Amino acid sequence: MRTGKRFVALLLAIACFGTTGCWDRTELNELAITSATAIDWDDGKWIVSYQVVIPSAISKAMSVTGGGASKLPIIVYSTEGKTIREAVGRSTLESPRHLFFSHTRVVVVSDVAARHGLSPLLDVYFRNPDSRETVSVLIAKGNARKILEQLMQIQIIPGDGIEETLRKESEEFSALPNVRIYDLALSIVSPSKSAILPEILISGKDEVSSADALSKTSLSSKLRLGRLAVLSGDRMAGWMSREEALGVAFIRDRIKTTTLPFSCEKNKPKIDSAFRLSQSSTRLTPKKGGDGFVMNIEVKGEGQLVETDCTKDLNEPSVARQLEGQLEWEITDMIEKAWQAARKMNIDVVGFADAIHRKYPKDWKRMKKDWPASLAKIQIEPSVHVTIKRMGLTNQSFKTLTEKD
Amino acid sequence: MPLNPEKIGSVQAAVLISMAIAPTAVIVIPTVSIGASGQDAWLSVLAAWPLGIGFALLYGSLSRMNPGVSFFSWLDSRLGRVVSVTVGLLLAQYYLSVASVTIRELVNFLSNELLQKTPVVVLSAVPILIAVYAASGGIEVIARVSVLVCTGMIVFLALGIGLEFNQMQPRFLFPVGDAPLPRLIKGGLPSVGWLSEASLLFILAPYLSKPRRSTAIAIAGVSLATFLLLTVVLVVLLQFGPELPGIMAYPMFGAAEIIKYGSFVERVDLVFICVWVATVYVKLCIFVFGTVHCFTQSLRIKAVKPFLWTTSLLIFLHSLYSWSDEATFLHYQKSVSTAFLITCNVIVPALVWLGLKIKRRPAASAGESP
Repeated sequence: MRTGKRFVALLLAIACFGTTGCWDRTELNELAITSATAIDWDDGKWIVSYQVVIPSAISKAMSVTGGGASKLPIIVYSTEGKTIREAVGRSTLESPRHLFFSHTRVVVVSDVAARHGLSPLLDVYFRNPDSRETVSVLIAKGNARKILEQLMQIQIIPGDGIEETLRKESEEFSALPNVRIYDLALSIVSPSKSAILPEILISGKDEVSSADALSKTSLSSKLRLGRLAVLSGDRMAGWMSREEALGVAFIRDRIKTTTLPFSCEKNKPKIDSAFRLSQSSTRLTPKKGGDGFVMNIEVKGEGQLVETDCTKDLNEPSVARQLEGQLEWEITDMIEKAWQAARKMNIDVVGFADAIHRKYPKDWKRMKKDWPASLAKIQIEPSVHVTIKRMGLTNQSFKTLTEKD
Repeated sequence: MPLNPEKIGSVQAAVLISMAIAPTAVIVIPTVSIGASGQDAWLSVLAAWPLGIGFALLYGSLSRMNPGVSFFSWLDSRLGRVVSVTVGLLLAQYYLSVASVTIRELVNFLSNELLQKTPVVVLSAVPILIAVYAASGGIEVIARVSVLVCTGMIVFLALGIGLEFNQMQPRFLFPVGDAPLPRLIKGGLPSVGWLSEASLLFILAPYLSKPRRSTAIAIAGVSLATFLLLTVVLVVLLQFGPELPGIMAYPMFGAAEIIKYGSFVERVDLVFICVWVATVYVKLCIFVFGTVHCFTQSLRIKAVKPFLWTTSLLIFLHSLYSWSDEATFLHYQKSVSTAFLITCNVIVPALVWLGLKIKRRPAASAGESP
């Protein structure tokens, strides 16, 4: 009996060797950890570029930002293929390490590749376990690889830096959304069949892609977020300006916090004040009317006055109401401009299809067959209500004092 | 074969029933149901619940008739040897088949998500060895472990919902009732099939410490499994809407994969995978035990252990070679599985019930063993 038990114990111990995942073991020094990926499309081929982190250089990179020339923390290289995964597979031809995508923060897609269609990219991300759907997606006009080559001063790994910039912008300015792979997929398959993506660009002239170029207090060029790319289905269809993008964000209820410049007096062209919108909510209510639908866009927001050059007495409730009226006019104008831009492209970036589908499911079944035609007939009725909760730490502007006497 | 003297409590039995249903259902149902009935998939699952309760009533009424003796001994005394052996072998085949499906489900998942290079033979052999070990300990051992694992599952499900809360969009559930009735039925049928696995009660009945509570136990088990299923379907719907889950192989883990708070809480899906794997192990143990129980009890075999090893080997080979590839397995899950489950779990017991109604004979005395 004892021998039998020993035998079973031995058998189980042997079985343990099979449970250690030996076949799938991964050695860290065999991996090329990517922090960003770029997708280009040229001559019928996908060009995939990888921003690979060099772990040993990351600590030394601190000295780079301090001024000394040292080894750079990243290396960028590209491979091409008829499919995205074929291109990735070809990386073994030029790299001794296996590409590891689990730490990729951003994927930058060139506008040419985006116009070709993003379905293959989405399929790759949803099909393969090594690619994560939490990666942020951006669009670059021209060559997307150039974006990966650009170094950043504050963030050692540019891929991380781009994602952090996008996250901060999305939280504190809200014009451009931080769109992750699954957000993109959700938008594309939603009733509106459209999506929006932020643009990333290199502003300035000479590229900062060497340690020497980085060892200056002012860089010759830097990475910057730009406009809003609009997709119809999985293909890019056009651009929207940042102001139009903010209007879209208001309509889609994506505003977290933003700063709005405005004029404190009606019909005064000079912008002299700024308002920090700290809370905003939008309610879309479709109503049947006339030839199509009328979309009631109800925006409610509140926040704080953060700057003014207005000589009015801010303690007066009537002045507060007037400023609120000005802000409401500004937001209404943004919404209308965004809607005009969307209507011009005839793409439902504002998500009206979702609202109509939810409230009028029977009408939606009829309308969805020719949604672009129905979209063109929609009229909007924005109604904005802004409350200035706080005027800040001063009651009047400094201009009031300087203009006194 | 004499029954082991151990007894299990009513809560343990209810948990065993829910653990016989939920582990594989939470993987397959979101994809199949949402694929069929879109944002109304939760209605499909909810609609399956009354049918599950109906099954529970049937299983409960049959089980209450045979307190203390195995279902097959009792069947022998009421409908004769031929019926008892036929039903026993049919159910043994059912338990064997579900056990091999469970292993295959686990292996497919592990091969797709985590261990792509590890041979399927190894991935299949490890759980079957553990199941053999657990089943040799008896149902009471499995029941105790299942309560622990089920508690862990509920705790981590709640934790997952908390972490995924900021990703959930209630608008994805609207408009309610958009899917036509045929699609709602199509979305609900797999849930009905899975809930019929509450027929495990036939196996558990002789071990119940309070056999009179059979019906209540089955209802509680079915309700807990429905609750788990409904929660998972709602979580998936609220995060991925009505379109994406239909094309995702494992939407439940997809939902956990997108948990991200800054750069410090992310990639927590592995924790949920570990908990789910534990639940699959419990289900496998239950079905290995069930296979051996049906086989030995219906054929009155006294030496159980050799059959435990041989049936386990059969389950192992069945899971390895019944489906040549993943597409064939998915086709089986979507098209054949429900019909198979309904046949073994509903039609067979219903025929037994009908047979009993037609041929009324005195019941076997309590505690009798062949």
